[in-house]
Amino acid sequence: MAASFGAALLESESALDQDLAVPEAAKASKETPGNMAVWVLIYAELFEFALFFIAFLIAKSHYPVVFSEGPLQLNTFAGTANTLVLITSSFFVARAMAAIKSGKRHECLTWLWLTLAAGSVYCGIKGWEYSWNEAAGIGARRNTFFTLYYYLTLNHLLHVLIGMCTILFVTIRTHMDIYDATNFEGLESAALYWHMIDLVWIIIFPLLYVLR
Amino acid sequence: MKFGINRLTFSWLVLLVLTVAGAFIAERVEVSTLIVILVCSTIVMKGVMVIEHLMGLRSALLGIRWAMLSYFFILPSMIALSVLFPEVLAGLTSL
Amino acid sequence: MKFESQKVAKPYFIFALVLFVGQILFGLIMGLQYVSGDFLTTYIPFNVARMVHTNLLIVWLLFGFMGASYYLVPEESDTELHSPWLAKLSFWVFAAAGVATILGYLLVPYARLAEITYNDLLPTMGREFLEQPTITKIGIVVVCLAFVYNIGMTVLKGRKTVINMVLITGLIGLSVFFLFSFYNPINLVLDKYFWWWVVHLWVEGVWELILGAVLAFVLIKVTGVDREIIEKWLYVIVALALISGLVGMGHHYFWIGPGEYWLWLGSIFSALEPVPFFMMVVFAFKVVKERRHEHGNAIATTWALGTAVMAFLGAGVWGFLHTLAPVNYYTHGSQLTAAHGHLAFFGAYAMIVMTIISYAMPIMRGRPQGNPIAAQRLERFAFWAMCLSMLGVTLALTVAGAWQIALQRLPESGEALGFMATQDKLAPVFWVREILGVVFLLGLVAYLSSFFVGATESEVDSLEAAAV
Repeated sequence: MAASFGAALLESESALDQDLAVPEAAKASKETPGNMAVWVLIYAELFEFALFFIAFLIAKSHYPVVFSEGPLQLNTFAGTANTLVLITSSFFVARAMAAIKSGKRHECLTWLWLTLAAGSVYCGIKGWEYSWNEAAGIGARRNTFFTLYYYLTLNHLLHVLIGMCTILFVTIRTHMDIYDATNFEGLESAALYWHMIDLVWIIIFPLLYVLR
Repeated sequence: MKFGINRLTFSWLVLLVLTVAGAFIAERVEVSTLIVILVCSTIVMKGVMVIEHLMGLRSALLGIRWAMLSYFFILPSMIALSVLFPEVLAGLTSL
Repeated sequence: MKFESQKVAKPYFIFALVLFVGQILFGLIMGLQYVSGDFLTTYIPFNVARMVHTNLLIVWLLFGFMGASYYLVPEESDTELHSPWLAKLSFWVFAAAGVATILGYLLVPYARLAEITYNDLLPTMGREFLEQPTITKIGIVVVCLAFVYNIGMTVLKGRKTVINMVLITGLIGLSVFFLFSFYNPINLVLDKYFWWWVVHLWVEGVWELILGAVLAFVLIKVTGVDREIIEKWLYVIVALALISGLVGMGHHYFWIGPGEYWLWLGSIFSALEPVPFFMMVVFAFKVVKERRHEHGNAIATTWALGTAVMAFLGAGVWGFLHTLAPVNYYTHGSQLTAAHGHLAFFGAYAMIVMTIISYAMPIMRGRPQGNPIAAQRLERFAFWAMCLSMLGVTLALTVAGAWQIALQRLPESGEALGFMATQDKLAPVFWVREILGVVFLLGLVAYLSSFFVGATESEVDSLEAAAV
């Protein structure tokens, strides 16, 4: 996180040491997708999830039996399906970015709506998984594994919902013809946030469902 | 540009294959040292693919790209180590 | 500096920083008492140290906000302050009352202090953060009245900008909500409501307006970006802060007695509270990126960006960590709360005061383009030392909190450890926190010494030449 903070403050730093270093700073930020603020957010979120993962690993080392039985009781099919859906949504949003960068607004919109559809499918599968758990008598208070499972997955689901709201917001703005091949910073920031959600799930899936 | 889109599609397909392989392991194979290392390596591969190709950080500011990539080297390594040597971690964290 | 009367801010800023040092010293004493219970305990018992630590925090922030207002309102209103004389008088009244109260805490047992100050005539003492004797509370109200009157009259006779309006709304809210500290209902649930409505309605509501206004003011000055752009952002941030904060307050009502619907209202609205803080980050970076000129006071820009980021982390991320009712059921009142409290207060409110000091102090000392480079370098070091060590303190407390929850809160049917046994287990983490606290103090010392790193004439000239 210190690294991101450092990069974030680079511009103000350079102003002190090298007088009038505007072109330098402008060039550097051009190559980085999204705006600095979204990177602060992404690192903060990744850091938060890293804390959860470490807490999970520590708990796992202390309660080996509970944590090796736990994954077997989970619905691996739902977990796998959701991984595929999220990765696909990440692909969709990357295609949307490629489309807007080459000025194809209509194509971009299609990919954005597909991203939203994938997000909804993810939520649907998650809902089904939770009800499947309930039918199997699994609840958050059963043992430490399931407490952490629900804390992690609910938190992630919440991020998916926030991400979907953000994607919906930029989709509407794309409809309103606000973004084009030269001006797409807002759209790109939303896309980066969505990728971050995918990245977190890439770790959650093996951690909760596969490794026992 | 054509190549760019192809690269996206290619990355997507590789990611799908890696995921299905991981799920297969979860269902069929008894977890061993080798499997743990394999699974954690797929996390690294998937993470790097998303960061480099889908997020498009290959040409980004070094600090930003580096921080993202190191996240996906450090965490999976920690996961592998803690799954392989749980007693050590438990010992370290018993206050 | 446009107006002579802006100078009344100077004693406010200086005294704020003096109290800040006191706050940190008492924090360190308490941090040591966490691991070694006997340390200084006959002279400064833990409860007294805690009271001094939190009271100093609130009072130095109030001094900082007052200084900030006296500095920026005349400039924004484009007129002299209504009454510089009243501002100077209220400074001395407030400073004397503050010092007397802290000495009272330290020298006399609390019950005796209550007796001496005739607390039984209008009992208001004894509640966390609001421990001040009734007479001090009345003094605070008088000072606030004089302050709001002075600022209000200045705004009325001058230009009415959005920054001024947002700021004065925040200041009036601050004063009005403090009045709740005089009401102590017998009913414990009601009592809790009124207690939450003072400090917490400040930090999650009206203080955010003050924060937004001061940040916007400094950003306009150091970046030269159009006022219209900044005002638009300020409107959105303020609206979001009030909507999310006022109902989001519900996360404090979870376990104090009212209906279950607060579990939903509090969770949903407080989950939105990070949004205005995130908007501040977007806004600050966007404005700095689109800056029209390079201000010689680069460190003030760093402080402004740093405030946005650290406030988002402390108030937004660390708040969100434990705000949802099902999570809060296990976490409330644990060390996780302390982690959030430390980073949020420092990142949002301590840092915004240092931002305006970093911008305004050099100007009041005759350096319109900021301090000399050597001083700015030292201040930059201090900035990083304080930010990183406070992040470290927060992380240590987060680990302590997670551990505490695992040992003391989660286990059911009698396996849970008792409170003191849990605290014993956490001792190594508390040591880490204490060491990082010392690093923070070093950062603060570096910060204060940066005021005394002198400037040669030529340095000042070259800085001014660079800016033209």
